[in-house]
This record gives sequence, C-alpha cells and structure tokens, in this order.
Amino acid sequence: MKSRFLELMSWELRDNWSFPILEIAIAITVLQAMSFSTFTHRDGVDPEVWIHFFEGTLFVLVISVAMVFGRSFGESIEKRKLIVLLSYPVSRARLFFAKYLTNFLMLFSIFGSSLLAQGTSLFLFDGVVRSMSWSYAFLYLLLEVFFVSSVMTLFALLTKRFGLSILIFLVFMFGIQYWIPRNYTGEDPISYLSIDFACPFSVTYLEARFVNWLGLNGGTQVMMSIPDICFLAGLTYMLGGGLVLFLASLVIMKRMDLD
Amino acid sequence: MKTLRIGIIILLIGVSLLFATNMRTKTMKISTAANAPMALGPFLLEPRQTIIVLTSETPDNVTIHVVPSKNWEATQNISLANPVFTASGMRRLYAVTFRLETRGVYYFVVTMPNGTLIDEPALKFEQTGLAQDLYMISITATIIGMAITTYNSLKFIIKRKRGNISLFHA
Repeated sequence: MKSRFLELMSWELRDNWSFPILEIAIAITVLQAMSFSTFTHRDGVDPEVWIHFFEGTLFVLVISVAMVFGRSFGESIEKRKLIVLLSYPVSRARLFFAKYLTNFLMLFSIFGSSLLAQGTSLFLFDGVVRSMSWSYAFLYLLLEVFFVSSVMTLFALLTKRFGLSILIFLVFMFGIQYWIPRNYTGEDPISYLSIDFACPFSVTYLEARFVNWLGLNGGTQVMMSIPDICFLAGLTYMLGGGLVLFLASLVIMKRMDLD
Repeated sequence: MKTLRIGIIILLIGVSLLFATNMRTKTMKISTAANAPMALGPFLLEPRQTIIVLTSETPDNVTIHVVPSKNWEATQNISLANPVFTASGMRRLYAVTFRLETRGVYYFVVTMPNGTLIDEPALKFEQTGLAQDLYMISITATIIGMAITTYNSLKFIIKRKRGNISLFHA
C-alpha cells in the first residue's frame, strides 16, 4: 500500500516536474526572491525583511501553482491520463493525495529554499533577525502554499480544463489581492484576506507574542499594534479556507464523472 | 541523467542569482540624522561601493567612522571600536567613497578632531555596484553547474552514439 503511494508520487514527479518545469520554477524564484530584497531602510536595520519576501514571491507562487496544479489535475482529466492512472488500480482518494502531496511538497521546497537563502544571508548580519521569526515565516509560507494550492486544485477539478482553470484562478487570486482594501497599520481584519499582507503581519504578531511570553525584551513587554482578531482572521482564512477547499476538492475528485 | 539535471539546476541557480545580483545594484539613497550626539544606524550593509555624504553643518573638519555594530555596542568608544573605514577632514557636502569588504551591521559615527561625537549629525549614503559575496556565489554556482552539465552532456552524447537513448527520459 505504502509503496504504491510512493510509486504514484514518483510517477507524478516524472510526469509533472519533468524538464524544464522544475528548472524554470527555481530560476524565477531565485530571481524574484533575491532581486528586490533590501535589508536596509531609512531608519536603520529593517528586521521585517520577510515583508519583501512575501510581497516579491506571491506573483511567482501563484503562476507556479497555476501551472503545476493545472497540469496535474486539469490537464490529466482533459487528456484522460487520470483514467489510465485509476486503472492501476488505485482509489481516487489515494491518487488525489499522491498528486496533491507531491506538488505541494515540491513547491514548498522551492519557495522554502528561497526563504532559507534569504535567511542565510541575513544570518550573516548576526542577531538582527531572530531565528524564531524565520521559523514563523516558514510556517506562514507553508500556509500560503497550502491555501493557494487548494484554490487551484478546486478550480482545476471543477472545470476539468487546464486553460480555463488557470484563467479563473488568476482572475480570482489577483482580483482578490487587488480589491481587498489594505490598512498598513495592520489593525483592519479585512486586510488579512490579502495573503501577501497577512503573512508578514502575522509573523510580526507571533514574534511579539513569543518575545513577550519568554520575556526576551529585558522584562518589558513589546507593544503589539496588531489586534488578536486580525491575526485570527488571517489564520482562519488561510488555514480554515485552505482546509475547506482541500476537502471540497477531495469530495469532487471522488464523485466526479470522468467519462 | 540525474546528475545532468542537477548540473542544469545548479547552473540555473548561478545564472539567475547573477541576474538578481545585477538587479540589486540600483539602491535607494538613504538620508539619516540624529537629534543628539550619537552614532547613526545600525544599517545592514553589503560588500560593495559605498558613498557617504555629510549633510549636517559642522563647526570644524570632522571624521566619519564606519564601525561594526558589535564593536560599537560593546565599547561606545571610537578608539576601542576598530572602525572598518575612517574619513577625516570632512565638512558639509563632502563626499567619500570606499569599498566595504564584509557584509554586516554597521554604525556611522561622526566625531570632532578630539574624538567627541558631534551634535545632531546627518549624512546621506548609497551603496552601488555588485555585492561581492553574492557575485562570488553566483559565479561559483555557474562554473560548477556548467562543469557538471558539460561533463554529463558529453557522456550522454557518447552513449547516444553507441545506442539510441532519448534525452531526460533515459
């Protein structure tokens, strides 16, 4: 059973990440993540450098997820590859998990490596950025990839078309990002529905919580301008929303008519 | 074929990092001022060409020191802080250019000839050119990637001449 699941994952890797998909994704991610990150700002050291990371990589992440999940689900239904795979024989749920997990892990490792590269370059500035903050940044990157992947999977399974699903997904993602009003003080819960906004602000919130909890700031409490409701709004949207979309995709996969 | 693909990935990382390093050469000018006699910063600086312009009025020729943050925070004394760069004889709107060798966090300390910090120092600085460490990493990755790719491509071509093997699906 386990080896069959791994076989499916390996097949997905060969089919969906063949040359030059992985290479293009890595090259664009390195360009996007390393080109525009500035480590200095007007008032001195900028400890919230991951703001630039999340801002800079959202576009690449959305495009990569659209291509990878669009090919994996939309195109394989369109070209009837899914029927061939199901004759393996393997259950639809197992196939869904194998495809989703493979693509999700690959994307997370590409973007995670990019975040790691930025983190490594910042560790050269010893003590400027706390390693705990980077752990939170990784956590939010995981949530971001999960949410975006779940949205695209749902669209791909609903439309059963590669091109159409990508079109709807891009309009949805960039439309949502564009239309959500942003309050840069971080005190408006609605702003947290924009994922490149929610991630860095939530990391800042968690870091302040962590510092206050352990009393790392010389006993004095770090002032938190971000209310709990905002943090919870962002977390619910990304984790809860991602989970709902993931389960909805699983249900569609199990019940959909492939003929 | 796995090694060939690894080589291509390393090569692409190197080339894209080289592009990214080139795109980072244009940086914003940063103006900074203090309300009291104190060091300016700390700033995260990269190993590249750095231009400093003194923008505040000074009663006398002053000296600008670029000091690693750890040294400054430990000593708060310029004679003990081992500055990485010192420019003396500076007046308002004098500019000085130097190449920073190591990436790190630095303070700018402006002192009178007798060593005391000047009142309300203000300066403008800009970093231009390629960040040397990123440049070296990108070049190294490109060379390693190119070597692996070339070696494996040649091996593959020789193999293909002997038998029919399709690229990347062998």
